[in-house]
Amino acid sequence: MKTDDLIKALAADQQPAPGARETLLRALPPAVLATAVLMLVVLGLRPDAMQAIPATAMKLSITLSLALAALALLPLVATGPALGRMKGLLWIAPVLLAGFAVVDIVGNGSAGALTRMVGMKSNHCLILIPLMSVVPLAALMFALRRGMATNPTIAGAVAGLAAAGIGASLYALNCMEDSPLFVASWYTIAVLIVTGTGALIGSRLLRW
Amino acid sequence: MTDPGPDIWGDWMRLALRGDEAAYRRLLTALASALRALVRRAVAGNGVGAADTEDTVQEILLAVHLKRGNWDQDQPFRPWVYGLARHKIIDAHRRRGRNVSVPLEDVEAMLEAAPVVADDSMREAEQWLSRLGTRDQAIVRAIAIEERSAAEISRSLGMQEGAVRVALHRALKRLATLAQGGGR
Repeated sequence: MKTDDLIKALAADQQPAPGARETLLRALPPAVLATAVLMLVVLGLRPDAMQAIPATAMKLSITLSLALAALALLPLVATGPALGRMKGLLWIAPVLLAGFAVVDIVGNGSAGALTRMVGMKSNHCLILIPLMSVVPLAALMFALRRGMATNPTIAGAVAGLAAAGIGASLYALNCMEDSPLFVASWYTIAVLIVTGTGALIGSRLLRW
Repeated sequence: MTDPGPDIWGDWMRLALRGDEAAYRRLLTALASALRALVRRAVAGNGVGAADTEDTVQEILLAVHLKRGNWDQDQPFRPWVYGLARHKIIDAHRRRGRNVSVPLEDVEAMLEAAPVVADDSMREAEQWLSRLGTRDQAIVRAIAIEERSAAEISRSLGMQEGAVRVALHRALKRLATLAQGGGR
């Protein structure tokens, strides 16, 4: 096929080809909403939701800042090579987490710190956060595939971080563990699992 | 950098995105010529033949077409298309086991290059085409080579016109995947 012929075929194709940003805006809200509804129906809020507002807010501040920072970076990795200066945003969540952990140790003493860190239901956390990240991650990958990521692994990892932040935020509404030390251990592991999965999927799926 | 001048390609692309097929053809034709010069310069002295060059040009054109929704219409078009071309040139030659270097900022040179005529001995495009389904091949050939409209093709193949258009779009996506070395 000659190049001129190819050009004719391309010009004849008037089907829209939405870019990554546009797809992101369309695909992510329903994915988050569906996961949230499923979570509320299957797991529900924690039974003591009203009393636990401060503890839940603490966890949400960490998980949401992770989700939002990663989402802010997504349009960049979706269409270009670099994270640029914006990647500093990713520090907000770990710094918040470290701050809360220090307050916990100073306030409650280091005696029971290990018990608080290990918690009671770490397996819930490790299973449910990745589970609640699945649909958001799928939506993000779908959007990124329409983009032009020059570093597919990094783009996949950022998508994984965003999905994990979303999944962890939803899980925080159900999670009965209120120590920042628990968040620092188990949430972090769960987030890393999803991020690694995102990087792996990205490296295969986001080449173009 | 010198003044990039008016963004004519960008104007054509904006028209194309609003459905102006003639403007889109103009843009792609101008791009093909500029890309040919760019690819040749990138691979100069690398033992890359003209046919390889044309394969890469076609790959880039397919990518421009399928990724055009990522171009921010408020931004100039050339840096965007240059970034895309650079990625594709490096990628295409890495796949063929050769390293090429494309300078980061070569947009001006890309523009100033004199028109370069194609060497029409494309082997890869034929190979990609031959791996499409029979019906998709027929659609692409009818539109590209016989210059028939979707409406005519829909009558001769007994399909809805909309289905022909969708099939064409899918076929082009598939071509891009095959060009990229996927689907093997």
